[in-house]
Amino acid sequence: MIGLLLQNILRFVVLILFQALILNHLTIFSGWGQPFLYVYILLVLPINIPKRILLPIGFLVGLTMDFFTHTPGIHASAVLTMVFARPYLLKALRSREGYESNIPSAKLMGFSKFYIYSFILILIHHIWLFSLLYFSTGLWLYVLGHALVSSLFTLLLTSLLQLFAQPIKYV
Amino acid sequence: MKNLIRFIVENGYPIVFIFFQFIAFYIIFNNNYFQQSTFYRVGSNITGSISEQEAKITDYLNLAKANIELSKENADLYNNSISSFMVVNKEFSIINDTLNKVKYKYAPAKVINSTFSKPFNFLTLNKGSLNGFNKNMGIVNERGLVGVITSTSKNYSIVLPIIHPQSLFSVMLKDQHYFGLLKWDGKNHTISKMTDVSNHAVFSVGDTVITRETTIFPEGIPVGRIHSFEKIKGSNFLDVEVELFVDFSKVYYVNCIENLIADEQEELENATIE
Repeated sequence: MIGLLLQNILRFVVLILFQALILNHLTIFSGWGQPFLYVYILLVLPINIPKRILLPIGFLVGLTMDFFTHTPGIHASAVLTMVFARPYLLKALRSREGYESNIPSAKLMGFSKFYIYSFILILIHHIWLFSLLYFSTGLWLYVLGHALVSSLFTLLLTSLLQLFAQPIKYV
Repeated sequence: MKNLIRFIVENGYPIVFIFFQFIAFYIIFNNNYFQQSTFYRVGSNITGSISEQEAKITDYLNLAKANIELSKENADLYNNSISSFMVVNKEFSIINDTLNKVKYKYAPAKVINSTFSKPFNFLTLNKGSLNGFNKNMGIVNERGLVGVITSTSKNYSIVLPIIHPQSLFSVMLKDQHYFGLLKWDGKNHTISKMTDVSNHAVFSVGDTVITRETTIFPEGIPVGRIHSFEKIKGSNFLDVEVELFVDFSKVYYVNCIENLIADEQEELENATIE
């Protein structure tokens, strides 16, 4: 239990710093793709975590990111929306036997289900985030384009991290 | 009452979600970038020191470029120093001497963190209130207008650059003196928009845009070059696109401008408005 807590805190510190110092300066396709890998912190939180604790955790993670990017409340709001959808999505993707262990991963859920799970959550976060960022400009196609390209970029980094952190045994 | 409590208990999760979302939106809409906000003061103390460490590493990568820019600036300074002027023979010329009062003071600073590809861009400077930096001081670099300080902590300052949708600067055309407001539309960090230019103004593509004298900036700081313009239908104003001189992807050494008699102007203007 304490090991799990420490592991998540460590992941929080490392990923937030990685996001703030490196990924925030990185874009592809002339600004269309901006990765927000820090959402990985919330993707792999334990499944049985009480739903109401999930929300304050998401809020804090988002607010920490806001301090680095000077966008008060915007990341917090986007992460909240993403975290809100998480339990429903996990419930929908659950197989008949339920989940065998506690951490969402490609190993536990199966390759395709984990990617569906990650992609939907990342897409929710990115669409919400870019909508708020471009709130006043009214460039909706621009928002959707940015969100989609960035989501794919984030998903790519997520899968790299997933392979790196929890290697899957290919039989 | 019983039903209400049961409703809240049964729907706890969505209600907590809405509660937090409400806080987030409260933070989003209650941050006026021109006012000192606690959010930045708390935040820049923590993230500023991290950014400074980052800048120490990335400093080395920008050294070559920075050297060239600095040597250019040095040359300009030498051009203005006393040693580069010769003494004029007083017998053959008339000098009308007047006493000059210093109005603007410049102080150098370094950008330790910045973004330019986002819709909301900011710069962090390595100097703060301890170095005499305060909000509403102008920031320029050797190419032209950069932005204005919106908040400071002891050792760091946050700059609202001209490539931020909430920034608004008073500018004019260099030769024709038509006024306008510089406002960024959030798309491209090399292009900004000049609004409120009256449609009888006569100018052409390539004309230079400079700052007007305000309480923040002296007159004549270069801003950009006119890229294109068109008439807005059913309006008395032109829509002018300005190509900015400052390349925000490599803003590094900047100068902070302090207007020493800004208070006097502000007091007079406020008294008139009231």
